[in-house]
Amino acid sequence: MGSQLPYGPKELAAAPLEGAAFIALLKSEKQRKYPEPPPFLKSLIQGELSMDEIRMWVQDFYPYWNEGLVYATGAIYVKTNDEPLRTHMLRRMVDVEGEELVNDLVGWTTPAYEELWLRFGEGLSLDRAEIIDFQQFTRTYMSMRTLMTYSRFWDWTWLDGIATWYAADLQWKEHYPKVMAALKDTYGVSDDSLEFFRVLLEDVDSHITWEEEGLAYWACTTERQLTAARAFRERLDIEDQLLVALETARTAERLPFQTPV
Amino acid sequence: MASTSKDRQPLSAGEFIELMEQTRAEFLEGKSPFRGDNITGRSVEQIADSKRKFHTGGDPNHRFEGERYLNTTDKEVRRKQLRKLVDEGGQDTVGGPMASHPNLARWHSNEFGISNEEIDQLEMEDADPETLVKEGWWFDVNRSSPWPVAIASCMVGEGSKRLPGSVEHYENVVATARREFAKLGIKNVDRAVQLIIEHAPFGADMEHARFGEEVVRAAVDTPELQDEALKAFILTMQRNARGRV
Repeated sequence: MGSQLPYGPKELAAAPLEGAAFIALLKSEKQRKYPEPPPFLKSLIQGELSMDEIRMWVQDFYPYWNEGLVYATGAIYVKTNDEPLRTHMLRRMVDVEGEELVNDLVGWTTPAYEELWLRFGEGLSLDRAEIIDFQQFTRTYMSMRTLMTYSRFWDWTWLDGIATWYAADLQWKEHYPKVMAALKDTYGVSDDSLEFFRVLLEDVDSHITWEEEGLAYWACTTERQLTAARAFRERLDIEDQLLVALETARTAERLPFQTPV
Repeated sequence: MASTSKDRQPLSAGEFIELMEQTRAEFLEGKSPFRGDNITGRSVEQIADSKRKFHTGGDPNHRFEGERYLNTTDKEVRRKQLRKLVDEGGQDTVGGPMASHPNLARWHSNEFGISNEEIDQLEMEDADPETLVKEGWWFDVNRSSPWPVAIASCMVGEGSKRLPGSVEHYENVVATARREFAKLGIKNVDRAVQLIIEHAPFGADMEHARFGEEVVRAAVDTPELQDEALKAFILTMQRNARGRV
């Protein structure tokens, strides 16, 4: 919950939905609020971006993969007292921070998302320093910080947090295959440079099922469903807001604000 | 004129670790820094009761270890802390061999006649008030302290496994536990002792102890951080001491 008035007796008097119906509601909320990709991604998919605009996306999004998602994921983990769900969350933290982290245990070698994103940037002829040193657009930065603080503090419960992961996963699962195909077929990005997308999408597939099961089981009261659905919508908003400045940067006369050095 | 923090120089890493160990020795007043002094002389019912107490109010492991992880801004250290979370939150999460510490605690309890259903109920209950405030402080120190101090606070428990005599002590604890549990008629002794093994210096704890010392050496490097780390070290020992807080 952000600054909204709390739900009262009238809202809470309604019976909760059955688990499957609640998941269906979340999906319908996504369709209602965001039936289309964010404009920047839509333009990318339709082949309308320049390579410089794609490079700018890589630069602007690096802090999200390097810091925002890392922190937000760990923040929900810390709040989660159900062991089976927490185990899935821990697995996800390893995905984000790099499966190579457990190389000594199981021999995995996949690096962190942020490293894969840097490699994607290198495939677009960006130097690492050009990516890492970029002053993020302020709107992107504020979106990322909102994700971090809502995940960390009282704004989202642990269960709300799972709803937010589900929202992002649905979003990525819907748009990133098309993004990846466009990057390869329309913009000529080499297959090697697209490992980030393959890894992320494989990971998403491995997490969506338990997220749905967890939400269907634990969101068993009206209040939990109302707050989880709100958090789900808020994450969709955040994922959309993360791309607003990039769209502005390519369509407006002046660049939007960037964070100070 | 009183000296200011600007005038103060930090102790070298070696000097600071020596100070920690000297503080530990003085605090313990000759008692052993190691765990496992209550393995013998208890009945199945007494052990089961202590396990019930342990489970009441839930398992705190992910909370304080997770706070350390979130707190750490150094990427390399943070990832080592995540590797530790995997050890404690379950190597089996990634296909490795060892179950999570909360699950190992359940294995132990199961062998003493406590079902998982009962543990679930106990974990939903209010924590014992003393546990509430001791753990509340423990979460806070790991959440609110600078990350080198939060990680250095592991030097009390895990850090003690680096001390001379630790391996021999815990080998003896495990062997004694095996004998005692068998005498008590425990069916699966291997399962019952796995939690003890995991916390021994030949389990994951030695690696975690080395990590803690590494962080102290590299990052507890100002007079202020050393003051704060020593305070957390003492408070952690006080928290762990039975009947003194």
